[in-house]
Amino acid sequence: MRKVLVGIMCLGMIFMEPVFAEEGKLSDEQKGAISQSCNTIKQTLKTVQKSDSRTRAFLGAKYETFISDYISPMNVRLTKEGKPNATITSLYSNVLGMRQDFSSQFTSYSQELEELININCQEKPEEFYQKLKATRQKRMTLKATVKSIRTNLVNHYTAVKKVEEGLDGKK
Amino acid sequence: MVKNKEKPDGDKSEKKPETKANEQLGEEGEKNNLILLGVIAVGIAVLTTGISVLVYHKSGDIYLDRSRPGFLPDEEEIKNEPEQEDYKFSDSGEVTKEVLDEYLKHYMEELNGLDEYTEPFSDKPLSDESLGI
Repeated sequence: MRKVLVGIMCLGMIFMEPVFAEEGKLSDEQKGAISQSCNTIKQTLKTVQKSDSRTRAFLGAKYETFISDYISPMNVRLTKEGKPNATITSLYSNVLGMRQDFSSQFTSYSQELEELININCQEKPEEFYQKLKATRQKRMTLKATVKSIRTNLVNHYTAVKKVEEGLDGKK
Repeated sequence: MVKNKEKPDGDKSEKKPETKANEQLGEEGEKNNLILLGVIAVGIAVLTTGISVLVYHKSGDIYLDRSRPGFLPDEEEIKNEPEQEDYKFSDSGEVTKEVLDEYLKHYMEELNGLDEYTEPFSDKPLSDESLGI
């Protein structure tokens, strides 16, 4: 009987869900801070929104310049001259794909930010904060894509430099 | 005979009120048709405009549009736009060291220009500290 009881208790412990402290919940102090300075927070968010729009326009134009004036013609020219470079071709595809990702991720992030600004943070601080966390997540994804694009652009420079050094060597 | 001759006149005088009534009905009918045409045209215009605005929002193009009020470029931004040479690498021609040298020189300038925005989309603006939470 004792063994049965111990066995049942062990099974219960296996299937019991652990209880953690609630994560991501706002403290009363934070709720109060959000409710009180709701207007200021919204003004700050609108400034961020405008600044992000400017950044996107700038980066978008730069990426287009890199793709259409540098990377794409370099890729074509090397192929025409009988010197196709797999690394340069691969980087070109990467940058093209990431350019698309950047555009769609920015749209998604902007949508999230717009919805965040439209929440009444005086009456719904909890909902506002949850939305803020989601918006931060999308912003982080966007930041990572921008960083990734830059890395690929730098790698393209390195690849073309190697081609140049290869020409040097042949001479 | 006289009677027959008279009949058409008599008939004409009987028809006159009817033809007038018919004409009036016809005019009213035309007016109604015109009003209906106007209403349908306005309805179609409102419907197509509504659909395009919906598509504009749903597709996300609204978030890429800098011509919206509040998102127009500042005067400072327009004035500070640097004048850059229009360099475009040709997709045909010989690939020589000199050509690649020039390419890399302009490419590096563009790369440095890209770094004008240090840490784009950083975490700081949406942090609790920045928002005062």
